[in-house]
Amino acid sequence: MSNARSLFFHLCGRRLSWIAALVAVGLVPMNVHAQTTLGTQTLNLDAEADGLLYGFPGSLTLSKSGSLFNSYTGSMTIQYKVRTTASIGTGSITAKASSDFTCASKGPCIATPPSTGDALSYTCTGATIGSNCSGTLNISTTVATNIVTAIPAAACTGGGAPCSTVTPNTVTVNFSLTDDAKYQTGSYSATLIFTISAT
Amino acid sequence: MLKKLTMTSIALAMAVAFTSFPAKAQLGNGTGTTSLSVTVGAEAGLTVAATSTLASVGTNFANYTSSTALTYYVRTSKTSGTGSITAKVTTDFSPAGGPSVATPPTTGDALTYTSSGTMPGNNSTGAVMAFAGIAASTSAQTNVATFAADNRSLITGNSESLAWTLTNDPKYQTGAYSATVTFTISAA
Repeated sequence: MSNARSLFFHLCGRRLSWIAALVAVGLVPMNVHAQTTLGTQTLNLDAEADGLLYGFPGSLTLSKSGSLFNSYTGSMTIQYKVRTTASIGTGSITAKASSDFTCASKGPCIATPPSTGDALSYTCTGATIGSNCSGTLNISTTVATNIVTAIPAAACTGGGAPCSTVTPNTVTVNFSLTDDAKYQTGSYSATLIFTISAT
Repeated sequence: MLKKLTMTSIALAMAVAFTSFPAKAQLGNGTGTTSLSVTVGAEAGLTVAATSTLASVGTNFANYTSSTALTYYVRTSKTSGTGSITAKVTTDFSPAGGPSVATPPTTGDALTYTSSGTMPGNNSTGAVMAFAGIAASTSAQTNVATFAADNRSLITGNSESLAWTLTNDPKYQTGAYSATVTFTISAA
């Protein structure tokens, strides 16, 4: 009998421990008839505007079909996440050539094109938050040019209202490089840097 | 016991509460780079007017003459490149009874040309743009121009032309006759 009683209280104690743990993680509501306030603390979270380039290819090769000096082309998709401030926030993605083709090699050159009209240009399509760049733009070695503009205030990347319905957000950049007969044959490369900003 | 249990529960609840607020996770970056590359290869193309009309000036059986203008675009390989523009009569004169390239009515009758033009505008070393008195052929490509290594035309193209001469043999019956000449440009 005493063993059974001991066992009874042992099991009750264990049960109480489980209940207390469950209460602590909020899984089991518990009716408390008397409470003592031990202290309060206000927890603050400052969710700042933020922008992240989530993923895009580390390299892209331009190619062509046909033979009458039509342009080299190639496309890449950029993934991004963004959060802008309510009412007054905005955001954008830009691109710039951080290193040019080796111009001295008599191939393509962004800064000083071999012939007037030679250019590395691009269009933007399919931005899922913000607006595509407008028209055909030329990549520059001195100025960052738009990829995505006008990401609106209170924007956020997510899985439903009030955020965008897709995550991550994406935009496709379609490149075109003039095939100037003046280029010497060979392989050439340039480096583009993409920057996302959000306020 | 109950007090100790209560304190433990509160402490545990606070620990869970603090850890339930997500940290600011950095899954990507504000900037990123992509290497953009292209391989520029040998390439060639040309444009030519659709027709050229041979004509004879005077009435004493002067040869028929005409000219054909080409615009060519070429890039040959930098170190060991070659290229050419050639012509071939792919369809002989017809109908029968007039001139013929393959079987001239009289020995000595011939369709010949002399080519000339501007050198490739961005490097012309080794290019030959002039060939004189070449007899057109229905069985072989004949040279109009030849290119050497690293020959590169202007982006707007360079010009080449052929001055045609066709024997005015009295043996030809009167009438209208036409042939087709195919020009081919190549670059390696």
